[in-house]
Amino acid sequence: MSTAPAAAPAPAPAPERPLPVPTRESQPFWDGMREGRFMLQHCAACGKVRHYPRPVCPHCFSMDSEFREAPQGGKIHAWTVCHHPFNFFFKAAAPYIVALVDMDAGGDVPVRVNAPLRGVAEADLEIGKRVRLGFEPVNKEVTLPFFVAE
Amino acid sequence: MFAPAQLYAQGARRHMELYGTTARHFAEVAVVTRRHAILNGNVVMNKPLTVEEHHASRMISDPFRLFDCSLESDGGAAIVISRAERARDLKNPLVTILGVAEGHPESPASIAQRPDLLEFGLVKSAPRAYEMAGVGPKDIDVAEIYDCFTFTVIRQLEILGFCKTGEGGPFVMDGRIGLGGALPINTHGGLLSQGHVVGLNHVIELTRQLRREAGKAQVKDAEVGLVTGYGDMGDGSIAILRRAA
Repeated sequence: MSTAPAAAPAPAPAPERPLPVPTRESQPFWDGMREGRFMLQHCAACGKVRHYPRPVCPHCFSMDSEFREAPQGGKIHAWTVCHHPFNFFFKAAAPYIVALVDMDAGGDVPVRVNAPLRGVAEADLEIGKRVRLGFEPVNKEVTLPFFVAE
Repeated sequence: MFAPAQLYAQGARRHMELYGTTARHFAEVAVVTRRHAILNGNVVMNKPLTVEEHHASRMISDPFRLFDCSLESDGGAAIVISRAERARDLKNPLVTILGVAEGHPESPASIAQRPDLLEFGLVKSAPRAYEMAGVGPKDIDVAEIYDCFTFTVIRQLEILGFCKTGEGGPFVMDGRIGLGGALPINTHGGLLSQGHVVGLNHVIELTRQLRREAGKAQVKDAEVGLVTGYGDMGDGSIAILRRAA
């Protein structure tokens, strides 16, 4: 058996940006993102808000729900600074801050959104800091949320 | 796009901001666990670790550095459980199960939406296990704590009642969690330094401790111990075992 010289390995393809796939339940949320609106799912039976979107109310188990537009401000609940990205697509952007935000829309039930926080230095991060949503169109279907200081 | 390191990092950051917990406290858990791993010998990480090396290790997801994160391992572990009267006839010293419980955090589907990020399932299960066992934190001679991250050890020590909420950082200092300390933990090297066999090795190590078969890592006169485990992102299981007379 002859041994041909090994071909140089093909360069790894550039990683694709991982994107959410809207579902039947989450479509109104993503439609809202595209329009620059923050849409939250409310139970049609008990009225309580739930986020992320899902078919069954975790409080009363009703499957009837409606989406309502919610205010876009909130307060930082916690954060992390990602240096080692979970997906290689984000390697070029690292380190980046991901803030977990208590949205003003939450009452007795928290409504939290996890998204990149832009334009804020690490040293200025603190619990309770006011932020608001921004909207980044990625393609025709998907617009992703991020946060900026309020 | 989140993996466990990013998700738990946010809870760890909140604990730091609310209670003043520091990277020095995290490092203590990593360093003591490594020391125990070296005594065990049957481990992946067998070189000594210093606080300085912990602080210099690369940042993964702030506040977690490399040595705050557990290992990724292949491995297998098994436990044989028998009726007590039958076990008495076997050749090993009898270790009895005093109490077991499991608990799930609120909104187990999403860590981010939990009312309190720091309320692991162990908040519900620990009191039930103590009650079933008829013992309390003061009776525990050795504890094997599920250590997916250094911080989760600190928080579980609070939930288990060894100290108050917010005091877990200072609690792990001054040799308290090392061999010879008031509460030796993860005497086999844990997920951080021995290997990540999904926590089952914690059960095996506690059994060895109570049989007094732990070699150089043996906790002197260990009688009662506890072990915790996780399921999905903070589900808290606990078992309390006792060496039978």
